[in-house]
Amino acid sequence: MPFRRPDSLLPLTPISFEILLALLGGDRHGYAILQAVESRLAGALPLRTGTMYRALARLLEEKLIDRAKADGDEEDPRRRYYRISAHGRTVAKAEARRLADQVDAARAHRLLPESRR
Amino acid sequence: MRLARLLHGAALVAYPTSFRREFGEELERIFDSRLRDNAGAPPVRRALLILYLTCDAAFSGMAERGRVVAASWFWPQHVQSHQTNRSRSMTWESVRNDLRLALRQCRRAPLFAVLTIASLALGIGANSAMFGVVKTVLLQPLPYRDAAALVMVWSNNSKGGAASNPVSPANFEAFRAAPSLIGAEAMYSFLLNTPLRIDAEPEPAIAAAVTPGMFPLLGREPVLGTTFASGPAGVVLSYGFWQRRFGGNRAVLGRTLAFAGSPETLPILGVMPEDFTFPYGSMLGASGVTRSVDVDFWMPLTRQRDPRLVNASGQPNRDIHYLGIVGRLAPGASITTIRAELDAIAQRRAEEFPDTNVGWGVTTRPLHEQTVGALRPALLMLLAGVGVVLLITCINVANVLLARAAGRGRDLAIRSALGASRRRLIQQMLTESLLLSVAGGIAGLGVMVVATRAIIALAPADLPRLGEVSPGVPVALFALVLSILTGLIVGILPASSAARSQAQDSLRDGIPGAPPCSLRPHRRGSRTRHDAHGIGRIAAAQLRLGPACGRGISFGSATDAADRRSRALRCPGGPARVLRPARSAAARASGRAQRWGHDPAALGEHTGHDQAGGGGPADAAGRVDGSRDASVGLRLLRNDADSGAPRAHIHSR
Repeated sequence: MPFRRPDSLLPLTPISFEILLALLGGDRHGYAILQAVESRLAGALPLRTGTMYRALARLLEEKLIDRAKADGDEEDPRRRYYRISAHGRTVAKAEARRLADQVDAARAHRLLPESRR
Repeated sequence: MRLARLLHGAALVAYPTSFRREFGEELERIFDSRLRDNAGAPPVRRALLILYLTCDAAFSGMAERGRVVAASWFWPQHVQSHQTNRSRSMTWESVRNDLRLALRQCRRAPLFAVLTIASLALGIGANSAMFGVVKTVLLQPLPYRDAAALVMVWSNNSKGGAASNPVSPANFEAFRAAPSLIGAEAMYSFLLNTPLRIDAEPEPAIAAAVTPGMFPLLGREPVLGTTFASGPAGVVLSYGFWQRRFGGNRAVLGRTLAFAGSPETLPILGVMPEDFTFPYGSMLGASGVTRSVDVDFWMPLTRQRDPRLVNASGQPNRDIHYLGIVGRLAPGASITTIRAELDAIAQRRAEEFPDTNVGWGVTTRPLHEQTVGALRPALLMLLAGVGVVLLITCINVANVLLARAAGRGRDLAIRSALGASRRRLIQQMLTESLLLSVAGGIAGLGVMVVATRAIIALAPADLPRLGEVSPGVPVALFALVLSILTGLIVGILPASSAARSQAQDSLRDGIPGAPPCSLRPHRRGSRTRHDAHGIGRIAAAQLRLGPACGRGISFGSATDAADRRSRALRCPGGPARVLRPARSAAARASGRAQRWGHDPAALGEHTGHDQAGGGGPADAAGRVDGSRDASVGLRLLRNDADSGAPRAHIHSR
């Protein structure tokens, strides 16, 4: 399946975006992604295993992530690792830009304080 | 842990197979990791976590399955990935439509609906009630801590032919030496009729004398006060006796119980929980005083209180067999190892004491089997019996639905001709049967409650654990699952029949005077069979919008131009005109009309677009101009009344 244009995949679901963010930090297996997302969000977004794997399946379908080799996992070599693809990185960037635009708009309407840049 | 894994594994079945193949192992591994990370959590929290993860797997699986089904049903493969959101909304819309249609069918034939729901309610209710009994009695662990490791030890009196004979105090002391048996200091004597005097009033009561170690062995704490496990001698009341005799008064602790005909008194130390029963009637052996009464209180079985425990020389008594023994398997030990060890001990004692111990072996059973093992075949037979009743009900309901589906062949054929896929028709039929069965399941909940009470009331009093049976959430869930399964079973035949029926045959069969189909001659008297069981030879072209619609409807118009059934396509003003498919050759139309006894000229000329189908005569009724006929989904977009040449587009929904 050919890659779809990044814009056509936006907006990403919050879970999908969180998974991409977690994978930007390196290849991870499913449980590590789950823990990374949970620790970052600290309960702000309820993340269920089933929901995460459904999102993973969509991301694999859209080729935003790939399977990676599980080299060096002594704890459980059967674990499957995931890696963000170049296409996924582009889409994550586009999504981040979209979200930033939204935040800017919210700031313009004084929903948020001015940024301290 | 194993049960939790089993539950979670069962919940994963909700996912589509391909998804499960891809991610199933990972999901199971994460489930294990979650449990491992919470290994130190309190049991309630762990149980809630297991429930949460299992429900998550089930619901996510169903959602994923719904997504896949929706995508494959409503959109061709090449647009699936772009239309996911739309297809999902289409699914719910179609289900809503089907539900509405199913409700309309019920309203149209209320007697049929009521009778069907009532018979399904009886079947589902009886099955759920029986399942509730089987679940509580056979599947639920006994109300003791780690009940699976508890075993019951009997003497096997081979001379007297009694495999489950009570044990003598001396043998009990010897059996305690078995390394695979721990906590075997616990034993009990049979129930004693022990009249009391409470406030100077005589009070009949049933007592069980148990060794102080019995309560720690069973692992249950009293709801009030303490037991005599480590403290001074006293009695522990059963919850029922506490409520019945003392009105649940918490000040009962410390009061003394006086035994009728004896100067002895004992203080009340505590009250056991409501669900605590020990011993069950079936743990009393054949010579138990009574197997159908509940224990009112427990009192300590000690050498001081029971002189039969020792003989005249102060040694454990070898002659009197009157004790029941419950022990716990040591970690890692199995019922086989404990049997071997106890047999060896019994053999050794027979050699040591041939006068009292020859012919006395040992019988060891898991406590659960001892309690309910005798009931298992009867309960499973009963469950199978009500299962067969439900199956018969299903077959009957499926037959009736099949006959109804045959009667509705024309409706389905029109939908099919207008482009409804086979899956879509199956969905409609299944929705109808599921609606009936779920309604039957809900009504069955009432039947289940009544049936459960009836079973408890009518069953013999000595059946163990029957008092613990209550229709709870798991049984209600069972009823729900059963009703859905029932709906699928009774609906699958009519649904497949509807999907297989030939659109053109069904359409023609409903029209008086129509010629029989050349491919499938219609036999008089076999209509139902013809409709319901017809072997599907539906050509794909016939199910496509244009040709199928045109052919199907032109049969109607050609055979009976004034047929009221075809009024949906009448056009206002102008002479009678019939729309025919563009691809129908004039000669073919003419030939067909001649064959059917109509003048080809009366059929008019084709004025429609390529995809237009044939219609009825345009007789100035003007009923469909710009309107939509809900049943067939046709809309006449434009009508050239002045020219007398109606032009129509027919859209399929």
